[in-house]
Amino acid sequence: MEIKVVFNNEHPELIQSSQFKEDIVKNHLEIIVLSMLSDRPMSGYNLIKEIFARYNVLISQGTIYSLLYTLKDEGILQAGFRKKDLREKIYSCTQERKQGVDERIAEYIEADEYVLNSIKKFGHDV
Amino acid sequence: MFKNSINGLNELFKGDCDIPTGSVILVSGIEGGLKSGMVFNMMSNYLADNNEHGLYASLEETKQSHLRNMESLGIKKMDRLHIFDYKDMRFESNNEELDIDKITEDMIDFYREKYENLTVFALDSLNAFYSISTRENLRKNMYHFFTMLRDKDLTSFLIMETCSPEKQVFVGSTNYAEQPEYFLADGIIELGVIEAKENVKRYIQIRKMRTASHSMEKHQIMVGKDGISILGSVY
Repeated sequence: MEIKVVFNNEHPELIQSSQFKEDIVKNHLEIIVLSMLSDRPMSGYNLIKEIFARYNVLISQGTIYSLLYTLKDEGILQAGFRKKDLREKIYSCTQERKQGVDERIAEYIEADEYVLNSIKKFGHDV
Repeated sequence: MFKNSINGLNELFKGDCDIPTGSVILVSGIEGGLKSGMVFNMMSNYLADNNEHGLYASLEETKQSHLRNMESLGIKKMDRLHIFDYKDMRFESNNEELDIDKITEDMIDFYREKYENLTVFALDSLNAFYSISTRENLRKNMYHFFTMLRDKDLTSFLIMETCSPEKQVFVGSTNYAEQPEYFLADGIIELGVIEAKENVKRYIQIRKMRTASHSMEKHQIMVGKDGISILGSVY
């Protein structure tokens, strides 16, 4: 059965699910950000907007920019500017670490699917 | 031990006394008094001797500009001293309101989670912190910010620029009762300059340090190729 995840708060009865979702997003923020930046380079501000649009979870600027700065210091991300726009710093994966990031994302998906499938086996299909 | 982090700083403390760990220290003084340099030098040298992490939050300067300044003072950055500058956030959020104390707490929480032994924090500067905040009465409600820093067991240095006596004439009162940082802080370190007939001397003075016995004298500061050092009494 297909797993349906509700990404909005239209149904008050799903408030518990919304809290779970927020916890999942916050606890796995690094992998979520890396997967988004693998898809396309983005600024910290746009990452916050994109995460909110996708998951309805608001991440603090203090958290997102700290994460971007530490990943840059670790050589996983690089920062640059778009032409003629020096106000917005855009982050992307470095060439050297791109493969490692892709492997981490694939590993995460595999582990996540394993856990979800094991829950479903016990008859708790969504 | 913080008192061993700067050459000569131990002379300002009596016996085994030191800057108490987990305390909030206000580092105040006029422009050009070496406030940022002193705090950064202390943190960097302290972390070099201890297997801990530190966080320097810069509201006024970018990381690159701050590091250039520190390099010009002969101060080297330790790997375990992390710098967070607010420039990108301020630029990208444009004119949106910034909940600066919440953002700062979230930033500290992130680094504490990432590096378990984050023990030292600096905010440069409180003046910028107040000017960015859109919250009314933030300054009057600084008790919560100071408490948050103590609750996280961080030895914190809050840098605050004060007016030189000449400027005070124009900006008005410097009554301590109107400056909550002064009575909320566990310690106050003042950095300034003394102008004599023939020369100008930079000085450091510990004005207040709860639970620590210390000298009240002004001691001269020198900048050398290996950073800042403290000499004997100015007078």
